Amino acid sequence: MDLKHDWKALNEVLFHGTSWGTGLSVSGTASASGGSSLVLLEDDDVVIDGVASNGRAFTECYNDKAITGVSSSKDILDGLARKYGTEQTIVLSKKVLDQCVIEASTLGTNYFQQLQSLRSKVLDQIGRKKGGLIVSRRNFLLDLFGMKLKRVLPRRFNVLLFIDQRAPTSQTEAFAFRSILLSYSGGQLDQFFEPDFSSLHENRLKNWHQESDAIGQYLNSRYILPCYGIFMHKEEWERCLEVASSKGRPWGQFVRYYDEGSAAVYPNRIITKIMLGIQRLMVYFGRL
Amino acid sequence: MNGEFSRFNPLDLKDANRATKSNATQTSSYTGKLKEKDRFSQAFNVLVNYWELKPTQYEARLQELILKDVRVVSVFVPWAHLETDIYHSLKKFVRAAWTVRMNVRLFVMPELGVNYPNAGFPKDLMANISNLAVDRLGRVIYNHAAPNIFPLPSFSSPEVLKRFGNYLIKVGSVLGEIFSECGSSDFCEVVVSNSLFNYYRSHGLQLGEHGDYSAAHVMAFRDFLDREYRPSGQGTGQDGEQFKMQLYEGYNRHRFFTHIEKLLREKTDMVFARKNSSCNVRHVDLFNPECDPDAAYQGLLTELFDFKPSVERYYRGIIAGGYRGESIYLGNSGIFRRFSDQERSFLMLAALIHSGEVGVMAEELFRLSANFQRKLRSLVTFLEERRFVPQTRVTYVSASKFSMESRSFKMFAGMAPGVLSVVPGLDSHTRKFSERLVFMDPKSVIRLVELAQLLALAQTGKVVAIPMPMQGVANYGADAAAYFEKFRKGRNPLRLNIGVSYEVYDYHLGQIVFYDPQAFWTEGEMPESSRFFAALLGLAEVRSLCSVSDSRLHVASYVSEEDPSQRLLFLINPTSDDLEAKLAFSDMVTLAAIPQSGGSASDGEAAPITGKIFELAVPHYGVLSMQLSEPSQSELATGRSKADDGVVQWT
Repeated sequence: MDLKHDWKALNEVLFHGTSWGTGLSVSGTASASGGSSLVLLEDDDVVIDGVASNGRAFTECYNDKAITGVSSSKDILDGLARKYGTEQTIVLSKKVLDQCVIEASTLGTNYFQQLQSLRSKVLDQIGRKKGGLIVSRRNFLLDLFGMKLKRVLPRRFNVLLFIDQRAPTSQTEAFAFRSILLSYSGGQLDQFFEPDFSSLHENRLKNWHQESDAIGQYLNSRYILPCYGIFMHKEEWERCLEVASSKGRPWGQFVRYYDEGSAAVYPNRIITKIMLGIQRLMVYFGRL
Repeated sequence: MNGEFSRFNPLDLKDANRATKSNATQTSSYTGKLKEKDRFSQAFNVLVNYWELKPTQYEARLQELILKDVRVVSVFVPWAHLETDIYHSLKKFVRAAWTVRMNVRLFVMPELGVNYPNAGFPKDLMANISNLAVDRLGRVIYNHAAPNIFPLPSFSSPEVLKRFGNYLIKVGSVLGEIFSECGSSDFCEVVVSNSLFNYYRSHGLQLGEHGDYSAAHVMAFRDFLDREYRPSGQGTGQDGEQFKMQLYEGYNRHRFFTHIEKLLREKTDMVFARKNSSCNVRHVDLFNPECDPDAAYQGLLTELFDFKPSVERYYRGIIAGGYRGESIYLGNSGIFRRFSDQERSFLMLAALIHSGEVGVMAEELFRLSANFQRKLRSLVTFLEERRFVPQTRVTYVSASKFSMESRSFKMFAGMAPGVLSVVPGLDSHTRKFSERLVFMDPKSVIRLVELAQLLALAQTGKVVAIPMPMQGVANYGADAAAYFEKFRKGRNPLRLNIGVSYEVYDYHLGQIVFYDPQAFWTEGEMPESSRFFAALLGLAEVRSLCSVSDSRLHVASYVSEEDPSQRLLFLINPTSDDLEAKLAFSDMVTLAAIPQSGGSASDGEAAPITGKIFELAVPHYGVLSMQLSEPSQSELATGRSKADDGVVQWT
């Protein structure tokens, strides 16, 4: 398959097992775990649709009586927040959103980038009104390569996330894996797709603990870009996601698995070792 | 064409299946609505995205599905993928299906929500603004849902049409090659759907404003009007001309949309009617609730802010699709993936019940619990074996599936929920077994051909409600008006005025109601009209099957084609609360559980109960399914004694 933007695979691999509904929080008004919110869409000061973070159906748009005056009346907003069991109400302008959608559509077929672009523009809109911040959906792996390491990494590179579906201790389970190749360009997630391992012997994938270098080198030459790889078991990956969602240190958790020999990285060179060492120190001092 | 999800003996059925199909194709490939006997074998489409797999994995993947009792695999064919695919994946996939002796169903029309960039539409087509669909207000229509945001192409654009024609020819040639290699086309079925025609509307516009208003179709629309409203032969030709006026713009536009959709389908049919690529062609209307224009911002904002999606809003989309007789496609690249397993199970079941046909990704289906899969399989088998079909009592005929006069449709939707269906024009109307009332939209222009069709419908024992000619606004062609007068002459109808004035005529086995549509052409509320609609339903003996004490519960019913006294009742709870409700019938009935094994009730299942009022607990996101029948004498006696005691508990 030669999909450059495999949205389904991205979600299945990267966000597998994550819980929904806590993504939006506005700083200063929401709890640490993310405030529950009701987002309203207004057109000419009339509410035309809405979405509640807790999954409750916004039904006001089906009523004959339209909700008006949302831009000036805080009471209406508070009333709606109460009704839908949320902590806050945020109002978006449909005109602005429509304009953002048109701009996002020009970004091609990368839904991830389209959503990022929309988020940043919506953030501007809310920021102006409330002085708050949107914390969008995040993943610690995307954060590392897209933000923290941006300055030290090449302009274009690939990141492999390889998830072995077997349990770490299982000897009998049939081998199965999921993987995603994240292609970065200028610090932006440019492409995401399942890598083509068709020219690689299956035993190499099965023995990824020992063969992570070979897999990494194969991807280097297959996609003609430097590749960084993270290899884990599914259970452990999910555990890392859980830790990340509870505001813990997922990389600390990863280092633990790495030290136990049930996770691997590529390339395992000096910079990687330093970073893993830093994580170990953080875990150590964290415990103290 | 049998079985897919519900079959347990693949080899026997396969052979039987092949034999049946080859008989069908030896004469000619069938086109149009599916065969009666196959109705429920179509109920569950297990979908596989072949382009997400390596061609070397095809056979293994299909073998896996066979082990899970899937006998027919359904696939979408992404347009752009087929054009650029140097690996010949489609050919390899269909050949793999043949090799493993599996039937394959190809959805060849582009569909929103398919996990391919731009849902499979070629990118370069969208670079030219003249190829894009435009809404009533002149704005480009966008798809907001996964796999990405993109403007919708217009099927009125010559460039799009030409390219689409080439794509279809390519699909035809790929299939032709495989059929000649395999020596048979029986294992393959091409499904022609309505593609983008369900989605040509921007959020916030009324249903009546649905459609693609791009400049590309202006000329085609004018031609259509000239053809439809030809001068009647004698006189000045004023008769046809008057219906081209602005007053009829909405009605004409919707007829035009229906017409071009039909034209596209016919052209698609022609490709697969060619000798070398000839195979079974089936027509369906497919609908993806997360791409519903009304839910555009629901999905987008949910993705944007990482929210939990609303089951109830999704369910509303399914109901709307059910009214329109559309198969529901539940793709897993959009917000559907965000639902919990329980919510997904519920939505699959609800989609199956409301629409009669559902398409689900294989991995999504087999991820759910074995218990749910077993129940679903039992239900599909039961419906298929007993030939149960959704009970349609009222058919609303309008110019398109989106052009219903809002007040009258709202009345019917409120008074006859679950038994109402909408058809776009009389040409699309198929004879439905349980149908009792056919209602012609009050804003229709009646020509002689329509009047004759409606009268013919009444002959078969139905009640047909037709708008009568108006004084102020012309709504009848001259020949239709003359025919109407001729029809009235010498007859003595029952004349009534209850909110709306109408006349009732006995006509052969049925009845005809000519009603005055004048009030519907004006704006404003029509509170009095509710009596008229209630009277129509009363005349057609369309009664609600039962009453439910909690309005949050939805009722859907099925009736057996073999034995109309056998009915199924589904109580659907789309809320997150457990609900307790009383289900009341006007007469004594017997309720029984639907057997799990597909045959008769097994030992472990509860005995049927008889009564008039039942007390039920419906769990959140739950569906209660029950068989409904008239009680026997002994059951009647038992039921009466129970009914005297009070309500009957359904557990």
